[in-house]
Amino acid sequence: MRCDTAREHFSDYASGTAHEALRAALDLHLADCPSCRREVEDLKVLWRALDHLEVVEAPPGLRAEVWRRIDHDLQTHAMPTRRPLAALLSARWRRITVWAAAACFVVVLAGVTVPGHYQRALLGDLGLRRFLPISSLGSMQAQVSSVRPVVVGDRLFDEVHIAVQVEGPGHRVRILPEEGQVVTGEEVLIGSGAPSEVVVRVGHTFRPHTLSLRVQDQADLRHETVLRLTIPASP
Amino acid sequence: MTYEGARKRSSDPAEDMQLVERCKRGDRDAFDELMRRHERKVYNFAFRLTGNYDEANDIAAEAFVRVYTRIQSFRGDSAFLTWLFRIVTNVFLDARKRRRPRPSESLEQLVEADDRALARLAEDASVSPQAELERRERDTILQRAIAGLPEYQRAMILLYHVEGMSYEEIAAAMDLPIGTVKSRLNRARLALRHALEGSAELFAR
Repeated sequence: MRCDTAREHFSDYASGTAHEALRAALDLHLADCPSCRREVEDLKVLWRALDHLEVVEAPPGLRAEVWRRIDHDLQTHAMPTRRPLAALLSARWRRITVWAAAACFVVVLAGVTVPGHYQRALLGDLGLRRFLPISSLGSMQAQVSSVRPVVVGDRLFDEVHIAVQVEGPGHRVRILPEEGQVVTGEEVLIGSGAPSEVVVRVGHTFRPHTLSLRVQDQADLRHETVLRLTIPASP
Repeated sequence: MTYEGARKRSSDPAEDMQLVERCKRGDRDAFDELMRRHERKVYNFAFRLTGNYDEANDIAAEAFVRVYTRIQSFRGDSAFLTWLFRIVTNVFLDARKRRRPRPSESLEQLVEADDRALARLAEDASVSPQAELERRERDTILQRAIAGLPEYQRAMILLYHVEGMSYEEIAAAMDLPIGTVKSRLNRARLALRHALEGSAELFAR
């Protein structure tokens, strides 16, 4: 065995995880090679030194700092623009702005079409109805049925009720919030058949926004789709 | 206390999963308990990656926030701790992309830590001051050598040797094939050995 080949296996040899044949070959090489022998000894010493590094205690305020950041993110997500806007506009202009924004939103809703070969949008009672394939055999429809503000503890949320219907023989989907979104609400498992309701709470916002939910096909967990719903501003 | 001792107190993966399930239902106490169980490991790992107390605090806190916001996506395909270390590594790599390292500050902090440790040592009659001094010197030199490794190699060395993770667990945590993990770890160890050649006598004791 050459030195450069032997060197590739020194770590396994020094840790005792090299298999028997490799160990025997390395033993033979090391018996005749003082420089490789020294290298292996050094690695064993390094191994011990790494094992004995001292533990550094976590600072006592670490968990409090994490909660501070989480709560700050929740607050920021809840009311991103209200205060600066309110500070700029008088009460009369605020009312006009709100009504104008609501009117624009209705116009946008009425005219929107969703690009893509499988998604299309229809105007429902309140929000868009989305059609989403969940596999080659099944699909689902989802529609926002209501949005209302709720106060939990000292926080303001928008509670969004979504009607979901799964179609296709024997299909079940799991719905859960997409990563990074501040959403409370349990994962919901829905089988095909009658419509079900999914309720999630998102940070309250002054404007219409998009809610993303992950839809997992329970027949094939690798198949996951993102359902995006436009949520109108809560009253 | 050494890492060797800390590794033996590894948490129960089944209990971690129970807490994760409660977190998914919005239970803040469960998340606090998860943090309490793992904050020392996370902070230690972050400190050994950065060599800097403030940066370690920032990375550990940011990693836990990321865990909180992504807990719904954790399906238990790997142990929670493996997933957690993956997130800490990613937060560290992201932070390094955003800003340059601060080596001078790191070295100052290591010396400061040594001073604090020596003050404690003066009150502890059970430890030989000479032996403790040598051990601290070894730690400092080793930490500097680790800090000199490329970031991925640094993370791998710490996950394997300090956190006691297997090749398979590191492969899962870093999303790499096992063969790549083995070859990179081997290169990292040889680079560390090379960096420590001038201090061979201290480490041989």
